[in-house]
Amino acid sequence: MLKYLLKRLPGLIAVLLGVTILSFIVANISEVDPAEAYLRLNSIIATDEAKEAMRHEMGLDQPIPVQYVNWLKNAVMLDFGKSYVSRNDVGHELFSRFPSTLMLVSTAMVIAVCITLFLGILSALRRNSVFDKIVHIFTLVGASTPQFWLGYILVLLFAVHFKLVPVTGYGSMQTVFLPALTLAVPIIGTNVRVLRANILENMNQDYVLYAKARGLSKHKIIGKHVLKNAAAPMLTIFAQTFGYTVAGSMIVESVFAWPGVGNYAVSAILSRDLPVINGYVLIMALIFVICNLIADILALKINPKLLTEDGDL
Amino acid sequence: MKTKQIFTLLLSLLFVVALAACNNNTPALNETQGNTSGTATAAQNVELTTCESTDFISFTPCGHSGGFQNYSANIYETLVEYEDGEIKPLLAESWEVNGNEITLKLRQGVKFSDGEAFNAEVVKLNLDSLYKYQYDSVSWFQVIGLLDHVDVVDEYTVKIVLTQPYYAALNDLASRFSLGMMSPAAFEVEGNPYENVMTTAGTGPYIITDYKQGSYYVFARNENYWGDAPAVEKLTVNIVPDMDSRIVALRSGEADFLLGISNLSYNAFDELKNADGLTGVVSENHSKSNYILFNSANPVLQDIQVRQAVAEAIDKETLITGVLLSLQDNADYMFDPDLPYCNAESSLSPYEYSPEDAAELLDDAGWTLNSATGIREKDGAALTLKLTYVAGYGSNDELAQVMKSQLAKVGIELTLESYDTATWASKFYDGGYDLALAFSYGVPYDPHITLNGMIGQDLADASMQSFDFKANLNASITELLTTSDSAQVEQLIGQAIKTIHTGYGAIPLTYENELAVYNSKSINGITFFGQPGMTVIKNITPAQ
Repeated sequence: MLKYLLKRLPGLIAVLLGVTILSFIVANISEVDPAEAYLRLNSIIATDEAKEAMRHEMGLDQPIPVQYVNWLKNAVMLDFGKSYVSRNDVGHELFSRFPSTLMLVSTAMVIAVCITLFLGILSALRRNSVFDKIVHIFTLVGASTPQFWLGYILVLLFAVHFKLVPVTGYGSMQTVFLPALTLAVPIIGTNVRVLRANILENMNQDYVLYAKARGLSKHKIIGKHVLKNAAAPMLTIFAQTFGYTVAGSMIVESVFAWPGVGNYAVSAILSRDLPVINGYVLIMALIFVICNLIADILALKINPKLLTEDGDL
Repeated sequence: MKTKQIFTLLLSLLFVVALAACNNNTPALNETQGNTSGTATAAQNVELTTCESTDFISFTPCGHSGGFQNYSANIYETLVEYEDGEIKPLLAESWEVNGNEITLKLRQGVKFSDGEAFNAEVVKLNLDSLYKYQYDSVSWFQVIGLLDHVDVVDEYTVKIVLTQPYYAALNDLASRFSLGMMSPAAFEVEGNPYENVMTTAGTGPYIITDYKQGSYYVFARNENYWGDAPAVEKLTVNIVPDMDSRIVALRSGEADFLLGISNLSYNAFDELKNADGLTGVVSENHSKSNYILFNSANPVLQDIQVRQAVAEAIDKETLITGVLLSLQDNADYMFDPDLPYCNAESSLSPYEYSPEDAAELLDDAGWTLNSATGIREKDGAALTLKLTYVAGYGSNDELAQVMKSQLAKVGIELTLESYDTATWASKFYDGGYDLALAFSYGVPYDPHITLNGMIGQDLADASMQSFDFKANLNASITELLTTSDSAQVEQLIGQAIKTIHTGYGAIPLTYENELAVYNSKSINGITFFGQPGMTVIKNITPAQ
């Protein structure tokens, strides 16, 4: 296992470097001079001298590779520079908004896991029943509905029509419910079918036949044997999804005015706040990569046979 | 055992679903709704909620536009106030302008919300600090740009001495942006006192008592306020970046009102103004002007006949009724004639819509219609002009589309390019446009600061650079900055505006109004402050 982790490490670092280099390049091919944008944002007349001075102050007069290395050196120490807009420390601004996003995504994952298990198991047990077909349609629609639209529909239904929850706000179980549900629906949509297929596949295995021959009840067979085997791979999927959802909560946060990192990143993008954008991209890439790593480790724990002697997967 | 496990699983599922479904009996929610839908029995205890698109970054009077700037008037007060074109007393009760010296008699007995006294020393501290720390960002206020020194004459008399006379010094002092007075305690920090201000100590009727950045800000009455206590006790400002979410919040009763074009699009206003339980209001006064600027570096546009033809080919009536839903008013001149010193404008004749005259002008200028393409040509070159604008700002996109079809009728091909604000400005200064949708700074900066900008590397300055009238215009504005004699000021401003108008230096489009929609259940009326997008809580009359 350790061997495997050591082998994975260089790859992970390469991915992170690649992502940050890309975001740096994309930011730098923009037509707008950040120094000029900064001056205008602060209502300072952008004379050539003022722009030159600002470029020097921001380190923009150096070649892009040098700028990147400087940024990276600081970023490793979690210093992402100062926001062009607020002039506050970017790391502080991002981390102070993280708990909100994590709360939202965790709630979404709890909802997603519970509903996926419930629907997946039931529709496998009642294969081809009316229930199974309804679930099928639900998962199809759920997986293909754009989140911002789903968000509005849920708001219209729960907040405006039934007045069960507030449209905006932050903190309580009520305010987190709608955005979390919006995030959860596509996850449920994709995973219910996977779980159902896993269960059905296991039902055809020899060990199920053997268990039946031993006279075990259907419930026991499913509860003890099938579910364990069928649900295990779901763990890795959910771990991956977690990382994906943290990075993907941006739109939902914006619709529900949720004060998380995604919402902050959207406003940073709109005001071309490059230090914030670069910091956000790095942190999101890091979370994504770590979640994928956890997913792989979980997969190994469940099935150590996946690993070769050289530590390859 | 296995059945038990499944049972446990299902039970926990049920628990989560039940938890998530948040039943409507939860007291916390009902409390919020009770507060926001204004079931107040006495005006003294009214609590309201609104939604704002942009987050507050810092509670500084010198911040970026949007966000806190739209609410700063509730916290910080200025020495004088600008109302309907006139300067009125606020923290100063009277004043005297003598050439380059402005002497102000201050209101006595005023205290900041933190208990500090307001006096001449405090005014000096504020102005000196603006000069020291914010010069680069606020020197376009000539009262700071030309500041020589501030004298404390006695405890309640202060004398501002400029390096030269400036006719609009009092207008500058009336600006809520930057010139709101902060408590002396706010200056007891290391470095720039205008950065990262996270407490609110002003003399205004409200203070911010609670907030979570990115989420909400609570304004509550300032118990030290020198004036009459305002009717609304508390206003919660929820930060909601998404327009549709703001509309839903208003419709569901969660928000009591939405104010300003940055929070409420024209389409949204039109949809909501007659909705059940909602009332829409539009200001009588105009808050700023919108116009088209020409790129004078383009030789085609250096021909005044072409500029005149463009002006006469645009049917503003259609733009206003069709696109702007009649929520802006037709602008005949660059500045609203109701603005100070702009009276002389009405002697000028407005540009009339006449596609026939426009076609004739273009014929005269040598641009002949190619009937195959429908576009005019001269020496083999087609009459194609590029219009740039800020995407998604107001109704820019729709306005540009309609103008394109209007200009096509006279044989001018208009290509449209839209960008975010930063790219648009950057392209503009690089000359990457032929026509551009632009606007004035608005009240209280019109006309003086918009005019000053025309010789100060501003958008209009850059755009008119190569027109033959530019030297005359510069002369008038430069002279304007040396006098404080109001008859001369009026004459010079009239001259500057006339130079632009007769030279077809810009095409006036519309004067903007302020708008708001509120829940009639909780609010009886909203009076507009006059400055664009500014929410002034004491101007809200709650329902009894």
